[in-house]
Amino acid sequence: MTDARKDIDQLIANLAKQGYIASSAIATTLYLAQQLERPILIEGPPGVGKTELANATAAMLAKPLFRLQCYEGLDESKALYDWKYSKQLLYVQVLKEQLHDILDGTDNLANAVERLHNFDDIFYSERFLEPRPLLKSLQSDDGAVLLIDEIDKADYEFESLLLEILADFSVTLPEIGTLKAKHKPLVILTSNNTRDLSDALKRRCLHLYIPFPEAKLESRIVQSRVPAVPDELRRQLVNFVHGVRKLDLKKQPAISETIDWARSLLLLHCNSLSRELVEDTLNVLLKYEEDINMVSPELHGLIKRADSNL
Amino acid sequence: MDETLLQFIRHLRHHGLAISTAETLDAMRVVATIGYSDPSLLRDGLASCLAKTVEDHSHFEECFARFFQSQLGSKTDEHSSDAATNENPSSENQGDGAASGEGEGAGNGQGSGGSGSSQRDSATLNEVIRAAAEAELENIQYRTQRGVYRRKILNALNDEQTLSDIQKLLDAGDDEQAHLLEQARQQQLATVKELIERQLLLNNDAAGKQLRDATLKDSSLSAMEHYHRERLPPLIRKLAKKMASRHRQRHKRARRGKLDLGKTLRRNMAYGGIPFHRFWKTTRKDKSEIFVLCDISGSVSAWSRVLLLFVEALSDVLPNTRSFVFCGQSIEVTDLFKQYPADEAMAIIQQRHGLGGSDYGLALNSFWNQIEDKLNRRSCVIILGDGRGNGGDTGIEALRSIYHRAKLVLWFNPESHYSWNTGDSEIRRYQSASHYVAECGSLRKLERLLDQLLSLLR
Repeated sequence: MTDARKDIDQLIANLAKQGYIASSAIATTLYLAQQLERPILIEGPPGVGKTELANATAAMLAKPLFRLQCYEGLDESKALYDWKYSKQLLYVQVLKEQLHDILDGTDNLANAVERLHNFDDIFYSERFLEPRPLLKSLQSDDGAVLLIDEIDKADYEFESLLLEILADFSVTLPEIGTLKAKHKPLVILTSNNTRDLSDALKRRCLHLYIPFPEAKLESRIVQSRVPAVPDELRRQLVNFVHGVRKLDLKKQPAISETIDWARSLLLLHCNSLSRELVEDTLNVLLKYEEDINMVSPELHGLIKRADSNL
Repeated sequence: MDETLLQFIRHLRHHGLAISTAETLDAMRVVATIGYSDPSLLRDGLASCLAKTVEDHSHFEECFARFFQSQLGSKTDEHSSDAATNENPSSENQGDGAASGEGEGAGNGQGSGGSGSSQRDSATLNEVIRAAAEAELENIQYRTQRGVYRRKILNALNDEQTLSDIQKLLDAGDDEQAHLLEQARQQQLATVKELIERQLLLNNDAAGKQLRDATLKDSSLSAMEHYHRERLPPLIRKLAKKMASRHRQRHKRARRGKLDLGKTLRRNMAYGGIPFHRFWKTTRKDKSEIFVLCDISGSVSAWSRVLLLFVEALSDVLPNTRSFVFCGQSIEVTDLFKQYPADEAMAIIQQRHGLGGSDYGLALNSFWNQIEDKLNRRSCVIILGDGRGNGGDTGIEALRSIYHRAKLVLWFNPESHYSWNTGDSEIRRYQSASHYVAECGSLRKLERLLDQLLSLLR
């Protein structure tokens, strides 16, 4: 057993303590991201625990998590930094009198301007800077986890804005200069693949694809999340969900839905899957009317199969 | 071992993964961190920095399995003593049942005929590999180069010397020794041949593929063999992707707002005109709609296929597109493309509607009837056809109505310019009722046309 393997196994164990069951591929990428100080770009269908990985990592490292939710039209004033505009204006108004005093005694315009030049760009100093998640994560004193969620929803140009941060962990503000990270944050980007990301962004990241887990792994995840579910029921419901995923659905049930379903079955105090029960609770698992209509006729076979195979 | 990694990356590139130098450096750091000893760890680690899309991942898995199965096997022979323990059980197995030989990796199984001679075999193999490296075998691109590389490798192995040695021994009457040497030489030749084939397979004819793609772009579709048409869809998707990324950027820049001075001043009256709150102008995006009408009768069906695939692949930057096809009646097929993957949809369309000669009169009239109430100053109509109506009704009146209503009517004619207006071609008449009639004789021309169209629409 090599050192790296040992470290990675340790990482899996630590994540498990936070309630996140990681596959070997996930842990390897996370390990490399820490070692190489590279951001991770996570792709995969919705609900497989992309965002959850960031939460669990932050909890494991005991570092603050800064989360930036991306959406269309997100720009640097919301993501990176903004000037406290109202504060600047207010100060200007309050200091009007002061200004008068300073300029008192100057006989011509040139002298007045000269005197004003002696004061630096007071209004564009760090005091008037309003840090947003990206800048906050760079400024944090002892490292942080930065989660940039659903980067594919942001505009194309926002990606370009991220490049400097992802490559050098620094930000250039035109008025102040370049701010370097005190402690390099661990950056995690997630994408639902609604559009292709630029190659420049991908090049700077380690890439991790999280697919729907295998039955064994999913069973462990359910066990860790909803420990009260009896073993027999857990086996059945995981197998059932796997059967459902094989059908052509509009939206495949993800892990989060499996967990929700397990919770609801637990609330209903049942010990094994029955047809009526599944029919009544299918709306927890499937989110579209068409999907429910598609699965309903197959229920009998699905339950039978879920019961038989391991 | 870095040479192995570089070779692997070259191998990946041959298989169409775009890997930059920066990523290569990353991969080196990954290997330095986790080492070569644990294959599954190595696979996950390298995948994270070399395969950056979902499709890339599956390619990567394949390449990794193929490459390292052969490579690690033969490389460890040279370096560590672990390999010896690996080698022994495998040769024992062969002695027992002689059945598992095929299952072993090419590097391990190669040439190990019997358990006794296995040591000498691996020595031969190492020698040949060294000679191959000297001859720069990894650059082999085409099947026709096999002879050249074989010669080079044999030169590096000093084959001439061996031959003359054999001759000398024969002359001296030492048949036994000559026979042994000849046997060794034959084995060497076989190994060389195998190595060349394997390298060719690894390189997968990459340069040939590139050349073929370039030719495909320029060649006329009507002259193209059926076999080559199979290659078109992936090529079209690649071209469309490039085009889409180029135009997406432009589109975003045009939408950015400016300070709305009037509103800002009005809303800040309460603060004595000091602009505490700022308001921005927003530019509204014109939603242009594109109608595509394609002739799918025998003569131009191949072209319609290409255009429909192209439009489908561009759906990212052309959100409102409606596609129609016709032989006689015009039929909307937009929904088919939404339901099925593009290739399948094309097959269904061809099967359902693609029979008979083209009747432009019926087609244009029914097309006009269907889109009449949807057509406005922002609509753009693309018609693909050769304008050969077999002497029937031309439907020019319907086209003229469309022309008056729409922003742009484009007619793509797959025929070469010289054969327009010959025989039953009515293209001259259609020319009078469309903004532009363009020849789209090859994929490259079509790409250029669509590119111009996109910049017009933005």
